[in-house]
Amino acid sequence: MTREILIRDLSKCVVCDVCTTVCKDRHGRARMNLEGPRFPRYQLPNVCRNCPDTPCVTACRLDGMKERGGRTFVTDACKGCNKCVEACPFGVVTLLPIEHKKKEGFFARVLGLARSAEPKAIVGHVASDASRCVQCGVCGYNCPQGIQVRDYARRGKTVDDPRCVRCGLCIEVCPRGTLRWDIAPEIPSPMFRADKCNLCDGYAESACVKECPTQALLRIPADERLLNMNEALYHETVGKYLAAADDRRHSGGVK
Amino acid sequence: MTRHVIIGNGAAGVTAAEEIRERDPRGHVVVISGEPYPMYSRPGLAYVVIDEVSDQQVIARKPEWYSQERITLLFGKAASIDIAARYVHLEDGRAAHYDRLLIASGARAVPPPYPGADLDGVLYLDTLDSAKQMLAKAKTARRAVVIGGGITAMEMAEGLAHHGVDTHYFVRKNTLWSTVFNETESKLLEQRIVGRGVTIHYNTEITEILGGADGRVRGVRLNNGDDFRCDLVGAAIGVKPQIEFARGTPIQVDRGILVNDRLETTVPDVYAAGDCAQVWDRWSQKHMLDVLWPTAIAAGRVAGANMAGAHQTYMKGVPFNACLLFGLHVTAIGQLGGGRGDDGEVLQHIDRGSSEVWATRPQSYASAWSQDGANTVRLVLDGDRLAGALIVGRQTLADPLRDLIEHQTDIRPLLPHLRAGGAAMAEHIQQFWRNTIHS
Repeated sequence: MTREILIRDLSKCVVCDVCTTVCKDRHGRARMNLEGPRFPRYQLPNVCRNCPDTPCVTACRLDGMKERGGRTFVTDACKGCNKCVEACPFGVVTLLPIEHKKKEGFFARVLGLARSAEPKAIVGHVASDASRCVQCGVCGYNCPQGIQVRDYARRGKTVDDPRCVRCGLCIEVCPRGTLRWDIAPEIPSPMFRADKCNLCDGYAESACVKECPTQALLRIPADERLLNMNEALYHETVGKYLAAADDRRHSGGVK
Repeated sequence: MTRHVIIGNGAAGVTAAEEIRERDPRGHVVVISGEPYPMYSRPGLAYVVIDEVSDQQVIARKPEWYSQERITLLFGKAASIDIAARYVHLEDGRAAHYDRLLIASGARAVPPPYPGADLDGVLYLDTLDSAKQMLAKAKTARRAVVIGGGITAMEMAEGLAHHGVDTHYFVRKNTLWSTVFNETESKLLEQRIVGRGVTIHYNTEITEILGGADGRVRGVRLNNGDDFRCDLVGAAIGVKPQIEFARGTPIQVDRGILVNDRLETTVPDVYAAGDCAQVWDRWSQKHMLDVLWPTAIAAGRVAGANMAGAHQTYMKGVPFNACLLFGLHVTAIGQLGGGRGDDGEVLQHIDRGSSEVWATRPQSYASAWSQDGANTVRLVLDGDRLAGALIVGRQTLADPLRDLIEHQTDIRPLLPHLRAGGAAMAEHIQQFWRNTIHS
């Protein structure tokens, strides 16, 4: 599968907002909005651009963000540590509180695509072993909440800071094995999970593209050059796909 | 009010200051820092050079902590101690009067003992400034040579390779970390090191560091006479206690400052702790140096308590270090024994992050070995007690073994399984440990 991005054909779009509405219906949150850089006839909505260098995947230290077939998507290993959110150059990854995650739709369940039910929430805290800690601060450096975990580890205390989101990143990055969950061998339910457009991975078609009444939204192969906001390049690359899409529409074979 | 003066702003010094403050809320506490930073984590420098943590974050106590605890932080280097008048004189001419003095001045990297050690481009991983210097130099350097047999040398190699420098690691022996590792363990680490793009040259020594007319490193000369071009030389051939200011005083000094089990020196009201202190070791029945963070913390706590009037005895614990080398977890506990006799020269200077105890072994000993792919456990047995353990890779046994070694648990029921070795050994050890801690 090639890398693809979503673009909006401004000459067709009537700004009815159906795309964001269906996106919200499907995913529980609109993963796209219609802001974003505009060029004479087309625009890049604020949505995942499937960067070729995948900074979100690189930033993740927990296998929570993966790249497959030119798409990046959030996996079940995501613990909501915020690293991908910080890494995304376009600001299109968000953390969602786990409780608010919408259940998979009817068809997804019928087709066997539904994820297994969320495990029962287990409340746990990060515990520490003072004799292993060398106060290097790697834990606090990685903490999405800015908690100085080492101040707890120094005294062998359990991290009871209410800001802790139980992502477990400090445990993962500690080079000395100082930190652990205090409820071993279980792992507590994380409080957040990253959420981003994955071009409706697991569905036959992207909801926004399919439901757009004027076929203004298109999934086009993402040319490497598209990442540089250069109008001339857009004409050269996007223009070609728009023309092809026009042809398909006229011939009645709209995808 | 008692005036407590502490020379040294590292793990031992700051822990002692904290302990004194807790026991003596009204006393004066002055900490003399030879480096222009609040206390930072020296082991953390290894993670600074691989960008795992920033040079700001590695500072473990903020300046506010000192004011909060009413600890005066004095930046300056100690030059001499006037025992009779009870003054510490600093290099800049200032002086601090003490009622009780703690020497916790730590240890410093030893420069390479051959010509060219003072050239621009010879790097150490010893202080926060040296780590910053290494990062700055790595930006423009193309090729680096790293020398030294211990953890710090490998951390330097990892840091330089991480920043895209073509890194060559020169090892004197035919295995890595030869004072502690056996051949299999060395091979496991070698795979990781080579995987990160570092070239290892075994049985290679340097005889000279070559410099250009500009005073910069341009290569090294090897023991076979060849010249090897490079822009940087990372040297981690050991550290040595920083105690020059104590020489020539009645304080008795060997390689470090000699202390008794209360961490008192031979002069009343003067204590020593941390990397600079040579402490009586119940394992080997000798005064030994430890350049380890946990021992510095433990000793600092006892020294601080005794300075504040307590009568605590410092029991030198089992030397323990858990480190991450090129992504490989290694835990070393107790006596592991390459033996000092066969290579006294290597141990002339102790490495940072290591203990002299590791290189020793019991009089008569047996060993047990278990390997499961890239995970190994090696045990050194002294009769029916465990004397040491080295755990590479999976770390599930690290805590159980440390417990069994520290508590000198009688492991007779475990011995048949240890003799059998193999993958089942791990399960038996864990089972045995669970039973002993619950009984």
